[in-house]
Amino acid sequence: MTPGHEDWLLAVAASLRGPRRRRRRLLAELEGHLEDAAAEEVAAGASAADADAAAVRRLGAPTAVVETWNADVAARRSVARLRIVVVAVLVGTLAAPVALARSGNSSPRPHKPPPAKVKQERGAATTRAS
Amino acid sequence: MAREPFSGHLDLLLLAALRGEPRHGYSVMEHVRRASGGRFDYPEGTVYPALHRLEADGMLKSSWSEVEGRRRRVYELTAKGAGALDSRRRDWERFSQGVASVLETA
Repeated sequence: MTPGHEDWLLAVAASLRGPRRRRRRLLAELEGHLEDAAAEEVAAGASAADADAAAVRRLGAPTAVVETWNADVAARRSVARLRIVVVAVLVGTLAAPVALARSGNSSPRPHKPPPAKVKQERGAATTRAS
Repeated sequence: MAREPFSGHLDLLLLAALRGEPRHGYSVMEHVRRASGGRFDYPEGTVYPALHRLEADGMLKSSWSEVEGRRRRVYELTAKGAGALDSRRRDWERFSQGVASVLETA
């Protein structure tokens, strides 16, 4: 990779957002594009230095790539967040009536004192009777 | 030609470039430039975010491949992408016919 190409790629890499794997793939593709463009310029008769400069020029400003990329990343994140909210609301809407129905159906159990308390109560009754 | 008309129809041009055969990004741009007679002169770097976006939307699929000894990401149209291309082509034809009809009266 030439210094001009490396500078251009570093400028793009510095501001890219999104998952690392996707960013690395984009940079690899851009690097390949620079190589192809420079090779085409050389084949057309340009010197190596002119070909490298022309390849960078053809790709455009790093900011143009970054802005387009980051706008898409931001849009996808917004959609993902919206989906989470919609799913949460749906789950809540479906779960609430079920929970209410369950709590309404459960009949109260008759109060049954624990065995120790029953013994105490029986003992007290016996004492009072005597 | 101005950049705006190109950027407004970038997706259509990219899908059309991939209609016949799978291509890597550089080849896509070459095809668009050649087929348009050099009318679309646009920063080539912005094609890649568009290709990634179309792939994320299910219009394209891609894989790494060796092209003339170099490792390149090659894109191809999916069935969904082919359907979208047909639909957008019809929209474009209706639009351009409408404009042409109005211009004929001028």
